[in-house]
Amino acid sequence: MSKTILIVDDSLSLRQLVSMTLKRAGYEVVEACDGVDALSKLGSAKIDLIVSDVNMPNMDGLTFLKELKQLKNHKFTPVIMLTTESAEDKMKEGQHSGARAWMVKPFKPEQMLAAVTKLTMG
Amino acid sequence: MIMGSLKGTLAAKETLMGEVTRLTQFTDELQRMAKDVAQIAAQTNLLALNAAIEAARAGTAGRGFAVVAAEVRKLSELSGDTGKHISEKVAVVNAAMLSVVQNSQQYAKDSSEILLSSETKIGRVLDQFRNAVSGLSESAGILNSHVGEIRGEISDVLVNLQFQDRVSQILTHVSRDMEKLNAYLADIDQRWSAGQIHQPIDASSWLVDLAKGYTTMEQRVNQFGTEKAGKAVPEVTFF
Repeated sequence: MSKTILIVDDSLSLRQLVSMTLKRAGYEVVEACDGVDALSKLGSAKIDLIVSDVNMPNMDGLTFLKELKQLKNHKFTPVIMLTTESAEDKMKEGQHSGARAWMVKPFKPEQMLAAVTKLTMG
Repeated sequence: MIMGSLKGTLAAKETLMGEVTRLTQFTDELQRMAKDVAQIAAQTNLLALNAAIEAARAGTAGRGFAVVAAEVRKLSELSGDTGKHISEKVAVVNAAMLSVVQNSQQYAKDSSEILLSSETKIGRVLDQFRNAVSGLSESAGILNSHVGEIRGEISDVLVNLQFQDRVSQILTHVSRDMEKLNAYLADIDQRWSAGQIHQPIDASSWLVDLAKGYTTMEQRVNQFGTEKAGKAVPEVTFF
């Protein structure tokens, strides 16, 4: 059975391209435009992994990550943070909040796919 | 496979025709034998006639012999008629067999032509099919290479969009700072109009505030220089 990935990004075009890349690789995809939208979509399918942007309106990625880890069902759901943020302290914050990977934009589709495969295999 | 079975049918017909032709030769022989019978009957008839003449010459002594000669004559006439009938029947059978052979030959000729024409048509269809398959294979190859190109382009677009995302965040940040400066200047103007003395802008603390909102390494490098900008994290880090 194919795994389902939740993509959270406020850029529609970026979201669509990431979605297309994942679908071509055989994943099911659910999309959300910010942290609030993402939290509301957690119940729509069994989410196996989340790929989230950091800087977003309404609720940014790190706040979403902290909220997610409070949820019983998603305490162990792996999260990859995609961000323009390359400062080490922000990355540490992501790590302490429970992210499993920190990926700095711009990334190539194959890098993202490799990270998604690595974290969904375990 | 179809052509093979058609060829097999034709070969069977040719064998059958060979058998019929062989029978025709037998009927020819029968015809000759019937003629021989008729000829023998004619000669016997002639002999019987001569015997009757000789019996008449013998007078009373030859009377009994004359009866036998008459019987022989009758039998020879009967044999002659039977030989003629056999000959007629054989002629009818022969004509029928000849007709069968002719029809079969025509049929075989037609079948051969149909076979040849079918072979040509099937060959042509197979050629067209081969061309179509080769065309399809070529098209599939072209499509495949296009798919590869498109995949590469999508990858490039994804990377470019992320650059755009970075630039957009930097511009949003700059724009917010300009708004902040604008509000600050408006405040100074108001105080100036009210005759209040204003403090000059503390540029260094302004920059410290500005730096708090930085999200990219480029922004930090621009303000603090490469050495003080801090360590950039790798492209991908797993925890």
